Amino acid sequence: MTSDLWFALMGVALIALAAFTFFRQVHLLRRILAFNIMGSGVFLVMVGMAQHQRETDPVPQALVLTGIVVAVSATALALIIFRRFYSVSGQVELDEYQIEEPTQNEDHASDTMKDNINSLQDALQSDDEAPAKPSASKGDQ
Amino acid sequence: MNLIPLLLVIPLAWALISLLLPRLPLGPIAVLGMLVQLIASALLWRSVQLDGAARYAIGDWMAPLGITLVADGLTVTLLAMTALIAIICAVYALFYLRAHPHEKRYFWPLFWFLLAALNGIWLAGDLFNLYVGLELVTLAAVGMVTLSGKRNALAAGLRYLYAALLGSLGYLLGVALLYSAYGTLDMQQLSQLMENNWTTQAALLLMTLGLLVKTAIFPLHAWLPPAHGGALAPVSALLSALVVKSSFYILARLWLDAGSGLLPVAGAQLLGVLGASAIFYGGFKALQQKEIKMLVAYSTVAQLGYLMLVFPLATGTSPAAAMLAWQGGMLHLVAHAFAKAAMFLSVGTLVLAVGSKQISALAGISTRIPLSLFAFGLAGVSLMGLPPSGGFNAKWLMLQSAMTSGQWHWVIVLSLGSLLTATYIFKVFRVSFDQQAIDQGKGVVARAHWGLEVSALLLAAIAIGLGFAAALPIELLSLPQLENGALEGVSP
Repeated sequence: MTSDLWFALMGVALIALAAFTFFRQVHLLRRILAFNIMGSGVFLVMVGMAQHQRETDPVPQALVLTGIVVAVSATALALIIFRRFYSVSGQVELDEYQIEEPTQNEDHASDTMKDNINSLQDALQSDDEAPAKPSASKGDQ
Repeated sequence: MNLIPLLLVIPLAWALISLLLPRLPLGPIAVLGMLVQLIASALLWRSVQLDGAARYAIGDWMAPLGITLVADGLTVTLLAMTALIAIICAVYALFYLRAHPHEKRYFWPLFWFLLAALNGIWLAGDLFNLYVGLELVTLAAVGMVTLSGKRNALAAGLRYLYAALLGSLGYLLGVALLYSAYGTLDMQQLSQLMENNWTTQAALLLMTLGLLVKTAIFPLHAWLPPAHGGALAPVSALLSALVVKSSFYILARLWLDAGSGLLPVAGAQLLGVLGASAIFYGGFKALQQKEIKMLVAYSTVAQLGYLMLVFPLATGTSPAAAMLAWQGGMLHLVAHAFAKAAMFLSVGTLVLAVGSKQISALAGISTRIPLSLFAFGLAGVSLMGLPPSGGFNAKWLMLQSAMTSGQWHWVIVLSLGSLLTATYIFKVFRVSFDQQAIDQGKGVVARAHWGLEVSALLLAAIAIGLGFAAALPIELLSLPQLENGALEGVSP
């Protein structure tokens, strides 16, 4: 058994472990970590399996490099949205019921909506003036 | 001058300008940029129509190390569709975002990045570029969903992001397997090299699963309604019209173009069953919704199901039936994009006008805001598949394909699906034409800006217009298949 195949096998093991965590855990941060480990597993498979001709192939290396950049950007985005979500809601996990009912606090939502409409009316009445009412859209916080 | 790289350079340049110089009037600049983009897409469309498909190697690096861009008939049709929908959404956003100064700051850079990523997907000639495009689309789309920074938007964005990331890893693992087996990722080379063995099937299965998550095909659709239903109107329109189509496009290229003949008939029928379930489940859920935007979002879940019917109709059938299915499926993709964008934009105007997202709040508005309601209705006509509309032509082609290949069960699905669509569209009309409410003088809080109403109406008119001018895109759609003979391998 060559070392390259070992890489691929370890990659598959990592993917399996991380996928298990990704589906089992509800904590959003843990799931981000699981996603990253899963990504590393995929990269190992990519590098390991493609090298079986006994010579170094530059293409998978380039692909993995791009893949890492993509994974880092995705992680950054996930982290920043998670941080914002945590500061707004105080939660570290998504509620399951939200799949069916996206707007739980209807009164609140419609209040903000009215704010938005008022500021839209303002904006439409004075076409050239800048509406400049950031408070209207940030009404939730 | 070669137009193919230009279609990526324009959106990227505008994205950087919008990101780095936020003090500029980004909206008008964006509309101007979209105009340039639209002209470039039209010119490329014309040149492909005259001279056939074109390839472009970035920096003259050839595959497998370089990046090849391919513009064939399907690509240029989708490019033109994207540019047309995006410019109208940009005009709409120009007026709509006046009430959202906070969101406006980030909307335009994300809009351009999304456009660049979409164009990258349509033009990509190899599987890894498609992966990069998919990820960029996801990142931009999730950013757009969470623009408002409110709790529900953030939750919807996170749900979307997690589902999409999982999907792309599945896709990437499939890409890794294919590369290790064949040593290339170029789709044209792969279409000649791929053999029907375990590695190929496993790779394609992984990629399919990943793409099904990203396309929100039932039962992997749960992330879509909150994300599409909760976003700003122009964002919802872009997401439902274009973003979910990008992953379906890859799926279709994978099985019907690069890997033609590799999809087992049972697998194709299974994909069709998923599509049929999506049509019925999405339709029923749409019927149950109390919020108008959620109704439209579930309608997207249902309409995406029709796209999946392409696979059973084009696999294991005669070349004629397969060609009809391919044309019908792609026409449905285009017609649904225009109709759904029109629907989300008109619904956005209606919600602004009545000041509530509830369907019941639309009672009696038919006399107050007829233009937006008319746009909604026209889009509905195309979604239902009533003649004359793009949706009708698409469903007609698919019906013909199903009848030619004797797959009567899909005929039933197609017809019942249209009936279900009609039910939930008329649900909105029943409320808005409520005579009692009209007499009581209910409805309309704010007067909608004409720019909002006209842009939605324009999109709806194009969706209907496709019913008259469907021959043009269809003629172009069939070009690459006739040249490469990609679909010929489909026949048993």
